[in-house]
Amino acid sequence: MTGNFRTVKKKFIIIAAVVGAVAGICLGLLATGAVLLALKLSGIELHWAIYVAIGVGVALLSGAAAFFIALPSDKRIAKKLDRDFALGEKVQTMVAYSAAENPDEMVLLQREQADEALGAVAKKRIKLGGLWKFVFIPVLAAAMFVAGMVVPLDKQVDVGPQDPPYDITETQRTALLSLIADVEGSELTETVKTPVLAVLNDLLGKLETTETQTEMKAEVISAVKAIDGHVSMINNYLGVYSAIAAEETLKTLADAVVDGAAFYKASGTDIQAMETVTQFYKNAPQEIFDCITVWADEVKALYGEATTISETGRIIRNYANTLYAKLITDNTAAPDMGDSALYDALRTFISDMIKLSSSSQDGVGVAIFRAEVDKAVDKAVSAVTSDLCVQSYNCMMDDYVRNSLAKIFGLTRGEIGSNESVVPDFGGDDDDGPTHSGGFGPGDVEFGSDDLVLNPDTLEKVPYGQLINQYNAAIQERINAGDTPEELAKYIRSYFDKLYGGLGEDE
Amino acid sequence: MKNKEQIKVSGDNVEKVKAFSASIAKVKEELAKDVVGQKEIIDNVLIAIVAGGNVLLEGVPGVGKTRLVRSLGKALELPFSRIQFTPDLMPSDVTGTNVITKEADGNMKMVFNKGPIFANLVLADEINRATPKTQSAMLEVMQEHKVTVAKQTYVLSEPFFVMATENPIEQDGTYPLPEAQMDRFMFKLIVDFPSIEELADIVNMTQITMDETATAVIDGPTVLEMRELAKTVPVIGEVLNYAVKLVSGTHPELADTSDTAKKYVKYGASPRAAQALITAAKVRALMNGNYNVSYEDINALAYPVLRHRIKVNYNAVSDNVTVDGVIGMLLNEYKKYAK
Repeated sequence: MTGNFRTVKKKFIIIAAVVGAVAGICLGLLATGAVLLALKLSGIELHWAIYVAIGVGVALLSGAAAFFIALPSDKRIAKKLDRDFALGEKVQTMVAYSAAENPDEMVLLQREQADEALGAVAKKRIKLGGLWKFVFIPVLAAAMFVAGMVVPLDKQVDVGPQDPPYDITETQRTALLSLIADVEGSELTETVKTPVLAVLNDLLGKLETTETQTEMKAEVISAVKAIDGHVSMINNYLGVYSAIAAEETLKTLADAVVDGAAFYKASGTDIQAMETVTQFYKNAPQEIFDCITVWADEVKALYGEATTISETGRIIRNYANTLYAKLITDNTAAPDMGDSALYDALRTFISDMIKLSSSSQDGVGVAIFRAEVDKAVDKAVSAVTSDLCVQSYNCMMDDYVRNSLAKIFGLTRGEIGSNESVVPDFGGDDDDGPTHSGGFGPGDVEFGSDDLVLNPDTLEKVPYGQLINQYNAAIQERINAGDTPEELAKYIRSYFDKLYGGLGEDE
Repeated sequence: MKNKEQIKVSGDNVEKVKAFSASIAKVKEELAKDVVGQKEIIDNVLIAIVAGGNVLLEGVPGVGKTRLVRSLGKALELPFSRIQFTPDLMPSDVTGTNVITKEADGNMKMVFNKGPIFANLVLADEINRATPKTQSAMLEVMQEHKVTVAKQTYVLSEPFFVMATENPIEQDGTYPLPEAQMDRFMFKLIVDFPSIEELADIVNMTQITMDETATAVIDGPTVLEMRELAKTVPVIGEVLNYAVKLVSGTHPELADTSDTAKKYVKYGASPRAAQALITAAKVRALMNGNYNVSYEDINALAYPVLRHRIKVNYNAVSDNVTVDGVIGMLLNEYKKYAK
């Protein structure tokens, strides 16, 4: 090709390079802006280097593609030159015959003439008609990029569970040690106290090295489950219930046993303080006695209408045999004699009933016989009450330890799980249980806890103490999710600690 | 003489190529001495001569047709003859005939008397007045460049050029050339009545002398060389296709023809039209000092090449659309291909 054509062609190459560069930059900005906008609206944030990589990659690829598309062939260049500068198809003819082997003089002359015509054109500017149609691309690219930069990250979108790091705070350490001290000073028997203390101390040790919130929660929940297990191994009143509740004549005894052991549940009070346990335990004998008395009255009423000793004896024998069959014979979980005070009390009751029913009662009147039977029943009531006080205390302490651990480490009731293997949850509206006025319970008078306040979710009037627990659980959940700056979280924890009577970090 | 050898442009011919347009310019200059105006006619006539074609001229009497051919003969140093066609003109009057002559020794022998056709430049005046037989004899000679009389063939000397005329006024008692015969003419040129200024110049010039004053500037062999040189002018495929598309666009029966042809044309141009376009375009390019054929060359020659090869239909007649009008519409419709 001639020198002048090459000179003109260079201009086209430069134009194509400029078009490629502009297209690459525009498309790079467009792609970056689009990805940035889409991810921001989805609440996803990536490292800035990724966006740069996307932009540069798209720019290079699209720029190269645009360059090769914009770069015209020699034929197209020739056509444009002939058209724009009215050269009478000289350049096109020159290009068409440029590859001719052994060109004749006419072709050579034509080439010479075309080159001469191009000599004048080479100094002129190439017309870039039609490029104005693409002006919307840079505008769109700039708009998309600016939009991507300006639009804020949508943080409300749930980006999935996060696992923030965990370090046990001084408050938590202190609270856990306080809980351990409470358990140590409690009325728990050694059989259950020792393993519970072991679990709590083990938990303290593990939390010193736990690194994430998830691990911390798992350790706490594991400790709670372990404590539930130890308590439910010692408490067997639920076993008595399971063994005899299906028998119609024994239903009252079964309910009385559970109502007695879990008497404190009827109030709907969450045991959050050792003082509450103490207070309930002080009331336990009377409360449990009242529950067991319901059964005693029913039994007494069974033989109360009998007019003869034999009839009375038959009635009590049947009852005792039924109880024995269900509680001992059919119950594979029945412990041996001496391994459970509750079972022993009921065995003694059965034995007394059988003895009375088979003993000779010559010269004894029905009333006197009946009085003997009543004594046996009353003895059983006392013995059962006595043991259920202990078992009830175990349940109360289990509740207290669970609630304390949940409060200290910000776990919700759902995360902790229920302890129905230890004590059934009657709820606050159980008709069987005694009613309370709400709040922390008798003796726990802090911040007007008996006051009724409006629950904004249910629009019901509920005790303040119940509502504050919900608020505490909710705020702990948000703190643990990492939504709250640490400085603010410290103040929130301190606030609720004070509300619950705990120590703030600044004390 | 007829040079049958293809002259390839060699290094020696470069100067001749470069001198082509200068030579033509000189011829025009000489013709301008005798012919006032008619620049386009002169250009096309020269194109036809160099391209090896013949020209059909249509114009009223007295516009200088005979003077043009005579002056041309002088400028090209070529013998010229004029044949006035009349209804009683016989073919032998054109070609010549054998006559018995007595030699010096008293023997009788047949001698062929050449007719007026035996010239390089022939003016066939009012060819449409001759009978079809005489017309066909004339046209056969135009095609073959040879005369056969009594089984004897006589080759005409090259370059051989015929300029036939038709009188558009006196159509009574004429024999219009059939389309097949018209196709043998490379061009059909319309000679317009001169303008007032041109007429004044004609009057002034002919007051001095009626004789042609043109002098020879090139000769017959030079014309033949120029013809061979013109054949080597390159033409790109796009321009060739454009010419072909123009010709096929005159055929209404074709699938991808023009809208103009579908509306106004009864019969389209023959393939000779495409040949004529390209051949003439090469000469025109060279005459204008260009060494390649352009779209502009094709467009400029479309009228003289196509006007006698297209027959318009009744739609054109009723819409008062002439053949030239149809050609103009066709060029307008196809100008998008000439880019």
